[in-house]
Amino acid sequence: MNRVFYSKFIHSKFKIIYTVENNNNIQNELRELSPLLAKLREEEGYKVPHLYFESMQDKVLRQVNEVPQKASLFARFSWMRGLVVAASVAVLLLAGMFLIQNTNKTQVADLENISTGVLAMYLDENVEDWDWDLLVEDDLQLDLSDGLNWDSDEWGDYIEEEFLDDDLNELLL
Amino acid sequence: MNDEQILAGMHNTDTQEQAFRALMTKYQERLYLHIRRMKIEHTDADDVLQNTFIKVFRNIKKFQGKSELYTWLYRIATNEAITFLRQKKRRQSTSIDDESTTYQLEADTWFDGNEAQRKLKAAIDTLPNKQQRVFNMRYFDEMTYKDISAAVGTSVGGLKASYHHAVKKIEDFLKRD
Repeated sequence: MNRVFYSKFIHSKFKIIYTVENNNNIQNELRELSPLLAKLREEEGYKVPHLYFESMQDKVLRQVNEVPQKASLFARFSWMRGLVVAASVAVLLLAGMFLIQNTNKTQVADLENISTGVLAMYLDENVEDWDWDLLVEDDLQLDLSDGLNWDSDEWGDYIEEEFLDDDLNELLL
Repeated sequence: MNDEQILAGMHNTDTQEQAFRALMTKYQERLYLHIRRMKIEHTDADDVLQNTFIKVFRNIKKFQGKSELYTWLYRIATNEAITFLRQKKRRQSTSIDDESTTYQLEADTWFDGNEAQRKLKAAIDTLPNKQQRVFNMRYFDEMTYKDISAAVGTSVGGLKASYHHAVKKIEDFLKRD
């Protein structure tokens, strides 16, 4: 234990000496290259708002203490997907009612009693992802800036922003 | 706290927050100034700095200690700043040379340097981007060539030549008037 402490103590002292030595070398180098620049180096001119760094630290800690959520590519579209589901349910209901009325007049499906969850499940099982585009009506006025019309750079940015490195590694495996 | 103590503290849940605060306190000003030197104004530099530290916190376990801790932090801050500048350029959809949208030192309310310092900044701006970064790291941050090499991936010999050349160019620019 003492030996470990002693070697760490020596290491930290050498590191301080090494750092001071290096800084002196850097300053000597600059003085040799340009005395003018060496003189100008003392102050840089940027100023920082009062107590800026204290509040910055608190903001960072608040953010890192939030539970990181793994981003699904479609998580941002969940409200859009809900809207699409609702619209497509309405379309299919009408189509279904029309079909049923024409083929079997004695039995009309009581679609109002079928829950949205069951209908959504039906759509999930029977509608391929790429068909969602076909179900979106123009008059829904969806905000396409949310990703449908992104180019590859914007997708790259989104992935960098939303995915943790661990998630990326999993995707790349 | 030295770097070893900070890293040890961050690997322990009980001391993680205290160690992380110590890391931020130790390096926040240097990283902030590094970001600002990349022609990013204070409000945006604040966002970039926060993103940098968040990334540091989430990836600290990946730091293997092959370089100095500051070099690793520096690389993250540089990447975050470059990402920000790219996004800004895309949002504005204008050329980066367009004076009406690019960073103007004269309009920066958080810069109160004297005329000589403004001229120095103007001189540094004449350097190519990578040479600017190398110059800033050596001149303002006093990083060793070895650490700069780890940060930018250029050989020590190349860095020395680049820095010496940059100093001469800047001096010539300053002496011109």
